[in-house]
Amino acid sequence: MRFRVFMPLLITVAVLVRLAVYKVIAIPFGGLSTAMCQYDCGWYVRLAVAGYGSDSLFQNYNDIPNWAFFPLYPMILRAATAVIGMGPYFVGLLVSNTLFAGFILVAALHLRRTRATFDPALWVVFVVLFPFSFTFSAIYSESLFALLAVSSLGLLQTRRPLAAALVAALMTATRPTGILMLPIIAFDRAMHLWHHRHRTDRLALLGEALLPIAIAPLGLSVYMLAQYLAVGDALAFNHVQVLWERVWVGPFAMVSAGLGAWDWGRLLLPKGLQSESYFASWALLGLATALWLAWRRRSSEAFLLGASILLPLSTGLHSMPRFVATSPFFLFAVFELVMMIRNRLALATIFGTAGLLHGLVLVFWFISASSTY
Amino acid sequence: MRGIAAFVLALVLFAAQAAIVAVGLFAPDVSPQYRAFFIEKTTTDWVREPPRIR
Repeated sequence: MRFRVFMPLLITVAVLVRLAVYKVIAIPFGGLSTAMCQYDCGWYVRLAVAGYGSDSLFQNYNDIPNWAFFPLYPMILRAATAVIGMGPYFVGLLVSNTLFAGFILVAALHLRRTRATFDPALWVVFVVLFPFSFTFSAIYSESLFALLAVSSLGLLQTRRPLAAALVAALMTATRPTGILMLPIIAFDRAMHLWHHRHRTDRLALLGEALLPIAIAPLGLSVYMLAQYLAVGDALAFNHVQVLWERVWVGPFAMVSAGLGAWDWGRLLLPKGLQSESYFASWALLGLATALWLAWRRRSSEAFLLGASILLPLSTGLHSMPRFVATSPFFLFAVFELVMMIRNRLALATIFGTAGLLHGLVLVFWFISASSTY
Repeated sequence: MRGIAAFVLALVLFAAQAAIVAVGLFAPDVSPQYRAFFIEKTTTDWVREPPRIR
């Protein structure tokens, strides 16, 4: 009871206080709504306002087709804008931060169930202060995806495979890496088949096993069908990646090239945090964390983290810090390490440093994006 | 009965999604310019014209 009342209240206060701090930091960068709308935000807002059809002739926004951006987040943004009746930038902040709060709560339930020791208040402070977690507050699909990923895994682990599959279907409509939930559901259902192999109602048993597997990729399938009907290419979301210079190279070749570039000096250039070596190091950190999760026998979390890094890493290094640092499973692993620290002074020092780094990276993000356009 | 309905629904969903994937992989209905740039990646020029041909 205490958890149910205390957690939503604490999370709401924490997210609101963080937004208030962002508002102050964003003053020199055009205010909160403008500053928090960088890079991909423009695509999501445009999709929410005008839909995919607006660029089906590929002649509008930057002359680049927008199929690389999956539809669920912009659809929610569009619906919320219509209901609230305010501009998409403000509504986008509202939507993302509500989803972020939802993620913190669902993740707290997941951590309480799966970890031997868990301090809910510490979790809230940790995730709010964690550098790069500002992306959850921006008009990006990160907060929605994190909420769905943890929900789907939690539902599967608490023996609700159909609900898990329905949420996974939403994941596949949110980001391409949503499809990674499919092998986890398929494995779970295969185990279900094995454990009930002596049942006589074989068709019913097969139905229980196969239906969640068939439902999980539905979001992606419907999106592919929509693309085929609109532009004639069901894999347009994949093919247009070439415009972001994403072509298949392979994860190991990509990491090797990134580290070989040894361009750490680029971190200090005006368009900051754009070093290939820095990106490659984040990929390695994420993969090492996935291995650690596997060693701790958290196989589903390890797979979701590792595969969600390897998939984009095969085609490019850009955005790797965001992909790694906003993965719920990376956050869980780091939090587990933090929970091992018993010294309060050490904890306070770590959290203080995280908060400072958070502010620094946020300002870098504002500056680098401003210098792009 | 519910289990059998689930089995039939699963088969229908599998078939429909397999058809979508097959079309996606083998039969994109696009212009030669789109195919050259996005699928075969044989040109470096982004041609601004509608991809559909039918």
